Amino acid sequence: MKESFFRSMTWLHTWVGLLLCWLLFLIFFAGTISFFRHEISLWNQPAVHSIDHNKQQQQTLIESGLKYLDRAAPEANRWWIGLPSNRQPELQVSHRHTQGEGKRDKWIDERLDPNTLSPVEGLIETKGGNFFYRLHFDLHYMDRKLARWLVCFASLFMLIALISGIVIHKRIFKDLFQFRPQKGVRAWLDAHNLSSVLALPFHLMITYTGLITLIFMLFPNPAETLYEDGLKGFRADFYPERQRIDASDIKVNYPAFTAAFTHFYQNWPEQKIKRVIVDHPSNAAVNIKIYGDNGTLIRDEYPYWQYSGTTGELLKTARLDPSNAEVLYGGMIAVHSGRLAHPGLRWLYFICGIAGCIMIASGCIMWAKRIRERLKPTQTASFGLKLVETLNVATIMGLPLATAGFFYANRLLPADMVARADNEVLTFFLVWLATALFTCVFRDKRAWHWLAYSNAVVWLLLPVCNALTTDGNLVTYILDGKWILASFDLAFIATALVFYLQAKKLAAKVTVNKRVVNKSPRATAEQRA
Amino acid sequence: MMYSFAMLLCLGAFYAFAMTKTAHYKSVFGTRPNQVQTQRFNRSGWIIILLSFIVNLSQGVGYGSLMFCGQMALSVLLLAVCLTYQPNWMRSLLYLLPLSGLIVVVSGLVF
Repeated sequence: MKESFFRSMTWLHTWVGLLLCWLLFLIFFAGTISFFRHEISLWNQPAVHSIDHNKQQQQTLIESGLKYLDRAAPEANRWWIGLPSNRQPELQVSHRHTQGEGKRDKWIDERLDPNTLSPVEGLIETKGGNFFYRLHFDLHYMDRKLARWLVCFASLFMLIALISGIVIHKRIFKDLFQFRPQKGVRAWLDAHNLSSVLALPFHLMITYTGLITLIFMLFPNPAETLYEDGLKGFRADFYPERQRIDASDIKVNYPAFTAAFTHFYQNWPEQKIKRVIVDHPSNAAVNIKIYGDNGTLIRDEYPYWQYSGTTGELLKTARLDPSNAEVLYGGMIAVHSGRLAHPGLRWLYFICGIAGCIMIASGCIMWAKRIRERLKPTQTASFGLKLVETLNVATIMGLPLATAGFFYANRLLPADMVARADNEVLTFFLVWLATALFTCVFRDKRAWHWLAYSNAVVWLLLPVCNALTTDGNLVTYILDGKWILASFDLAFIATALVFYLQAKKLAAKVTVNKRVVNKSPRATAEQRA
Repeated sequence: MMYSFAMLLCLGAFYAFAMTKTAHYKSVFGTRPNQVQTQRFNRSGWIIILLSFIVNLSQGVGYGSLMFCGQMALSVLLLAVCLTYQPNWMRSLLYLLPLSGLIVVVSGLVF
């Protein structure tokens, strides 16, 4: 029984792991990068690099944001003010405008320097870190619903692979620190075990809570039974702030901001504000929505206050005193997204995410290596093996290259280009496609070697490209104490170094293999003699 | 500051756990450990990791436990890399770890 149980677990781990491992790698990769979502958005927008850390009171910032929007966009159907944080230095002021029948509303994003309260000039159109964030669960060029189902399946497979993996690699805790790079396929197994065990709590947590983030799509039944109009009713109850407010025909001069904010500051003087949204600022349907900041609390959704814009009285609040169920659900999502993390924890999250990528990558490489090893010299590789090998190189080496391509596109595309943000994304996918086509032809060690070298060169030149195209460089960042931007350059160099080491290691192997191939006829001849 | 102290404790705990493995002990100290030594390393490892957990929790139950998970990952990573490529650094670490812990505590008390 034990033998067959163990075998079936191994079978499960191998095939469940292999089937979706490339999609999983993409999800893990994009997710890991998204831990630095706002930092990437900052890097991608050189115009805001020069903004100093905010020294203004939040009250002043909100007032000037509202005044600015009243001047710049009085006819908008929504104003959106995002307050500066340690991760985003600028004050975000966005406004949304109604388009013609059947068209989606149009957002216009503007930024203010919080210290001078003047608009930031020279903004470029970019998706920034939001691209990776969306890629993580919506994929791209794909119907959103279908993509989310795919991602859910992949995470479910991941969860199964993790649990069966703990069962079959039962020595992982015993050999906790073991890594023997000299031992061929054994080294890959060591890498696989090490990367999975060192961040095991993280892997289990991130996979499980990942499923929880989409739980109402996966498992809508409780909500459908409890609420008369199903999920819609549940959402209205759970997210009162997302309810659509219809415009009114009666005009209003200037909403009752003073009354609303005076009430708010009097009753919640300690509350830090994350964002303020004003719906229909120009007519009688005006509503003022205030979102509180959770800080490092393990909560996902923000506490929420909704004021009437005509009278300034408090209409609704949400999550000021969350129920236990809300705390549990919100807590799991907060732990998954890591929005609460300060830089220290954020880097730990990142390291764990990279460990996850290595775990998946080493797993699929190992599968191909094992099958290759079992091949007899006269046998040719099957289509399946070739497919796996191609997908391995294309995904594992292609994604970092494509990411670098995305960063280059951000710096090198002309600032006034039409659909610039989409072209950045297009560059990402074109680079990836090019790598995939290349690997269709070459998929052996040489492909790995060549791509590792290209990755190293490309990542190393990224700080240079940044220094040439923007006003700052690594030295000025460090001198000015702009640590986020400095870490970008350092992280690029570190990535380049890792790929260089990989390339060097692969180069040694490629030459060894050549020697073995050269020697083998002579060796057999000697044996015969 | 407290989190760096907890990180050092965590690193120390996993150091002790690594030294309970014969192969790693041998690569660092050159001899085989006797049973008493292994047991001591094991016990001190558990005590130190518990301390690290407590220090983390004292800074915030939720946030502290997240930090603790991350610190464990980083500790194992650092030690595994060190044991693989530079096992002789591990000996210096035996003195450096308590020393840096002391520095962190003292500087935390002074500033």
